[in-house]
Amino acid sequence: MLELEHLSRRYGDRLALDDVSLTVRAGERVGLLGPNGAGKSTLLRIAAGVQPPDSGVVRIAGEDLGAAPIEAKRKLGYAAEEPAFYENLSADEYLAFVSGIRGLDPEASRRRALALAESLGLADRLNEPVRGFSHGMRKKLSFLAAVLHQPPVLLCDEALEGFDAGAALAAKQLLRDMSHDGAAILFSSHVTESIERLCDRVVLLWRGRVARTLERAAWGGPDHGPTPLERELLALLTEN
Amino acid sequence: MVSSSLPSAAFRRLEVAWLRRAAARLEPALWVELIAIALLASAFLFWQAHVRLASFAHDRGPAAASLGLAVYLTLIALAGGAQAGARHWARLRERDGAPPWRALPIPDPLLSAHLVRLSSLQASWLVVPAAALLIAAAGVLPAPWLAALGAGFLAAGFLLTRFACALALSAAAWRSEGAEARLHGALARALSSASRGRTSRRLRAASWRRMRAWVALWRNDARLAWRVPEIRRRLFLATAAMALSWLAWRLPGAENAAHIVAFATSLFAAATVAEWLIAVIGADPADVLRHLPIGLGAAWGARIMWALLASGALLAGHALAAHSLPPPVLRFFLTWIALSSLAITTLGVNYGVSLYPRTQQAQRLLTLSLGLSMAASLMIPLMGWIVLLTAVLHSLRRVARWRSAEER
Repeated sequence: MLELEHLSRRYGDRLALDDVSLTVRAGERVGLLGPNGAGKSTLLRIAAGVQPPDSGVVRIAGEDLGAAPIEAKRKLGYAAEEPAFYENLSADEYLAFVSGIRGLDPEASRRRALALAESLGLADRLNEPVRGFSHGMRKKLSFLAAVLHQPPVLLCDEALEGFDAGAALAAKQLLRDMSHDGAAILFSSHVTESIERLCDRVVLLWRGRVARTLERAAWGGPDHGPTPLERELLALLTEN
Repeated sequence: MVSSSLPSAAFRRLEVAWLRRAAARLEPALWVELIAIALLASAFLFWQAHVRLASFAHDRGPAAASLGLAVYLTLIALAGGAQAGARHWARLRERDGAPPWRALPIPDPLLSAHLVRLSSLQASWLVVPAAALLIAAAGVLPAPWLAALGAGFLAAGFLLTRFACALALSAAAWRSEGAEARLHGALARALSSASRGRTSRRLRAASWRRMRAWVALWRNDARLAWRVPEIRRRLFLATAAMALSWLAWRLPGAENAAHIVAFATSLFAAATVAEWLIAVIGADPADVLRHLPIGLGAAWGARIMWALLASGALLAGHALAAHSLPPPVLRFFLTWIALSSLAITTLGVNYGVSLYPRTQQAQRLLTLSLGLSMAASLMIPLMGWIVLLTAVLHSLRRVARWRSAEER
């Protein structure tokens, strides 16, 4: 479970986050929706331990991120909006590095990485240096590294933007499976469609504050499979 | 119609903002330290130069002393030119293909002048030793001569940095292919062909192993040492410097001074290893390290392991090269080398970690600290050790700043 309590963050004169509190329960997919500059990425970067808050507490599966960062980060996966990598490593080497840092079973995590890469359409490029990757491929690799260890808490910052339709569908299904297995997922986007179809609850951020929280019943969108266009594309991909 | 003065004014504003930003990235305490080190180094230079110039002027007259001073100032200006040229080359080659801002309607001469100014700024720190030399000559040489030498230094510095940048541009543009060469100017060719050689190639499959975090980082460093050109260059330099220090024992006709040369070159080798380590640490992408469960101990420990390995290699090479020395002398010499090399490389690691991700500042602080240690040693025997160990301990206290690196 992910608990964010009274998080505030200021960049110079601008208050990016203003006393934000929210909880994502185990097995829940919570969407973070807001316009550009609403504070979504700041909130997720703070929750991921990439940058500290000015005040407030982050708890990852019961671990205080400020007090026990290593333990907390072991239980966390983070797919960044603008992912950074060791550019001169291959995707395979980067994933092996992440697996090593997280102390995962090498053989099991290698198999999982290959399976995930296959489903995201990245398998053919695993042995190429990351620096040659397109934006979409970088996002896929970041997502893959974030879910490699099947974390109990997953943070996705505009994670699926840049994915092709087939990979996006596979990633959404994976997110559903993970939450079904008990993962708490916080998923930010400024594209309402992704959140409508994926999340159980939506937190609307506005100028660094939680403006509103909506349950799925409020927008009534069913959590169903691909759209007609996505179905056409999937059919094409399957044929070829 | 848009006036051509508008973009140049915009560039000036950009450069001022860039300078402000660069200054703000260094916290006040570090500024104080840098200024203190610069003042101490200047005081040393002043102390060394003043007596020599006075004695030279007394023996051979002020004209000869002025000529000597002019030679030193020219050497400093040449060093500035070399640094600016190297930076300009790196600036032109550091991107993959043409940068997106080439789409802006900026005339090439303006853009070129802007990039040259940025590269030349790197050499501006050399004004400090030049000023120290000029101040040292005050009272020894007539004031108008000093003013002329100062103006001459500034003019030479300006011309040499521009000349070196022009050479760097020509060299960068020269690499571009035929059709492009005919169609575009040098700047367009240099920028559009930058790093074109780094096309994607398939690498060997990674070995997936269970390992501790510091080992994973250490293995990563080993890979990047070969793959990142900047780090590879520094590694070659460090290896060459180590080999040079071993070869010092075989210097023809300098048997009596071999141990001094070997020690001096081993200090230089340790410094190049320290610079390599700073570059290695600086290559860590902050956002990757921040969200992964990597602690300060792992980040520091992986690099200290490199420092230990490099010091060990340096030591082993000297043990082999100087095996003909009497055992007590050899032991003394090796202890001296081991301690100095370990201190210098540890200092590099500490600066790299504590100032991460500001690699350039870390390199600069290392140069200044080692320069000050050398100066202190020349002034008072063994004083350099005190300065060096103080720097190591002081920097060790600051390594915890690595955790707040994202704030910079």
